[in-house]
Amino acid sequence: MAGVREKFFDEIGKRGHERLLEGTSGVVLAEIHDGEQTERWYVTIRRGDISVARKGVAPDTVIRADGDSFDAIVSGKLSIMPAILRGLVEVEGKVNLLVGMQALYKPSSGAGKQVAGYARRRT
Amino acid sequence: MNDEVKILDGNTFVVSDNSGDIEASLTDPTGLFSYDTRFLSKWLLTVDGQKLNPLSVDDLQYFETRFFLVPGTGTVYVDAKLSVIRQRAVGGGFHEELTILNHDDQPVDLEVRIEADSDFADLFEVKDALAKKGEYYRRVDEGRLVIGYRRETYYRETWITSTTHGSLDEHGLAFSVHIEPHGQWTTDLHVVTAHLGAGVRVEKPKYGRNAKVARPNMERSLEKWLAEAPRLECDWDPLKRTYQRSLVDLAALRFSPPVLAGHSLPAAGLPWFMTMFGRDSIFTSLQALPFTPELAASTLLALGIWQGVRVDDFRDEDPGRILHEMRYGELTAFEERPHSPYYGCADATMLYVVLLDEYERWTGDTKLVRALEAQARGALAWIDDYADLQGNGYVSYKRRNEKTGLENQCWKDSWDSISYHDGRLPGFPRATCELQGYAYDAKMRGARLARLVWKDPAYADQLEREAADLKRRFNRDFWVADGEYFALALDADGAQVDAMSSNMGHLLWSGIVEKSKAKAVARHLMGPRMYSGWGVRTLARGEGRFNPIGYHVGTIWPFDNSFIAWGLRDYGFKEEAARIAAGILDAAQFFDGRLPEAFGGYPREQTKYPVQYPTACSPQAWSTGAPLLILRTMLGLEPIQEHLIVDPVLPQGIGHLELLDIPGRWGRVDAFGRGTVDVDRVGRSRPQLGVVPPPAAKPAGRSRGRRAESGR
Repeated sequence: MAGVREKFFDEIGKRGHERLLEGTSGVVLAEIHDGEQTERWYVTIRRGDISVARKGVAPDTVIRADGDSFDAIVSGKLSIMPAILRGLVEVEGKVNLLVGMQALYKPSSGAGKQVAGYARRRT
Repeated sequence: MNDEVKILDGNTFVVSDNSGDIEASLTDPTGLFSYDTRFLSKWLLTVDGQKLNPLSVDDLQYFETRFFLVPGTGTVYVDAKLSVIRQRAVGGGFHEELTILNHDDQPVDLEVRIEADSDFADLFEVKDALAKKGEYYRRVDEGRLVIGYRRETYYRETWITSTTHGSLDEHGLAFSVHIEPHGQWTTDLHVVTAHLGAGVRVEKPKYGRNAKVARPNMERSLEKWLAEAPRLECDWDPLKRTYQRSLVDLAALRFSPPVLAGHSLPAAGLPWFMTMFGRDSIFTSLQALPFTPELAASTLLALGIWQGVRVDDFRDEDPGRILHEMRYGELTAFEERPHSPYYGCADATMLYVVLLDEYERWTGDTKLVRALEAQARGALAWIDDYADLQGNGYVSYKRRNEKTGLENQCWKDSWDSISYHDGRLPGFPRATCELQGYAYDAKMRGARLARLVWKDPAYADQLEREAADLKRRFNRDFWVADGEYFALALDADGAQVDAMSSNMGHLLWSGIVEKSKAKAVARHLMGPRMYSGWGVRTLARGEGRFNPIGYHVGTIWPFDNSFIAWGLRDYGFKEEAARIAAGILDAAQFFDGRLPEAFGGYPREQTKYPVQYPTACSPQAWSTGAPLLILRTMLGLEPIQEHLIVDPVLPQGIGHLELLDIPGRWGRVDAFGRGTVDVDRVGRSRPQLGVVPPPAAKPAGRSRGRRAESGR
């Protein structure tokens, strides 16, 4: 399962910028517990610019989860609020960074604008 | 239940009977609730095995109440040697001071018992009577009764302790009490809503006897709230009461979601809607802007944090969309309901930009406008990228979550609210007219902010061009030419849904109505089909689905009317706005200053009093805000750059009106006005605005604020 989140962090690090996060700034530390092991990922967002590192300091938000739950979140199968309400993840600090980060996960449902019946206006 | 007593603190509230007891069934909405979960479904006090009877209930504050009780069977004759006082304050659960007084000259020995239990029902389960899927547990540990519920990793607990030594068992607490002649016995009970989820943990109730500081804090907070709001002086006393009631209710409706770290926004209604609602929180913030502008700032921040970022059919979420409703209960946690949050609302996203602009106009807080630039741009982009479902240039809605999503995603969200003149219901998508007005207004206001704060004149020009184009098309496509009014909606084929409705009033407020059509719209709104004498009906008499007590098809909504009056004023129909103000304020008098969500659309001369529509929530936030917006409208308060313009047009019976210390970018300013508009269409019955004898000839409406300016 480790592949899922590694791929995720690799992908968002390469993406570098996300327009939907231009209103968001802060550092998120993801602490992922798998058995005895703990993985740490630092995601820094500066008005939409994203960088990922394995080391960092003073996060604004810490999210702690087991590997399965975390993988479910980044693959869009589990939304952050239900995960918190169910006690699957623990959050310290500002929840808003995690909410914004949902822009980076794969959609849990809905294949895109077409599903919404979206069509651009005739001009 | 008629005798229910409610106290609350944010989204924690207690609903009990008038003895203070709770004996809920799954469908019975009593109990201690927090974060949309019931933490106590039973809280039953007995003395020597007998329940107690209420002598009186003192509502001390909205968060605190006191029950005076006596033992006995509830006959009319009371000759008790004992009295029992339960004083209860809510917050982090609740704290209850239980005192028993012995009035006899003999000592007494009593068995006092409190039965406690919880079903941990989700609010949605209470509404729909659903069965639980997890398991319950209870234990006594370290002098504490723990009642819990677990489903997989989800768990919620209630902790119960007392300050006096008693015996605890898994079903409650018992005390063997000896009281000397004319003596008393007392204990403090703590009920803690531990493990709330949402990242919130509680260790003890907010206040109790041992935390003297906390309770005065809450009172001080209310006093401070009232002291900071503008002061109102008026010759017509009912308005003073209504104003005071609105401010206190607005204080009670403040809710601090976990993402706001202590700041509060207006929740939608007490007690069942004590949560963030996009539409309700925005409308209430708009109404309250001249009085408590900080609510708008919190609303904008919280809704901005939760702005949609992905396409998610279950939650009807799109990038840029502003949420409809947030919930924290078990069904939401397990995604059996989509409220985490749910985004199925077609107007809040546009109203978000409207509120941001209006907030800046009043406060001059460009810092917040800059901080929320990305959110505002996201909201504006949503209008064209996601809301134009039919590709015809109009905002429309159709839910993608067909199981638990909302069918009608406009403010009239009941199933039959959108209909043709003949009563048929249109298919989906539906493009209701007021959505187009809000879209127009959002673009115009977004353009102002782009030019002024974001320094992006090209974007401003683009938004204005789009707005002008929308206005032109709208006035062509929605105008019912032979009736001279705007259709309620366009249907999936782009044909007019031609019922006449109050939505037209919101069109005036948005500014989308061409000047040449405004007079006809105002005439309809104030005509006998729409205007009842108390207010404008949601649907005109003569429409196929009209029903004077139909939720959105004939009742009168004070909130709706407050925006209609604002719209009428904006188009220069000042006397018509004053007439609506008079009707709604007269109605408020019948409800002790607390306007209900809606009341019947019967003609005023027929019923003489406004017939309340039965709803579960009172106060309702946007009804609470209605008198505030009406005050603004009557006084003609309008921020123009650094100044507040005052241009009062008031109903005659109001006499002299002063609103002092109105906060804004000008500091504090006073506004004065005098009633001059004769709105008497009622006949004679009671001292209402319409029928107060006209005062001796006085000068017309005027203003003389410290820096307030008269006229435009």
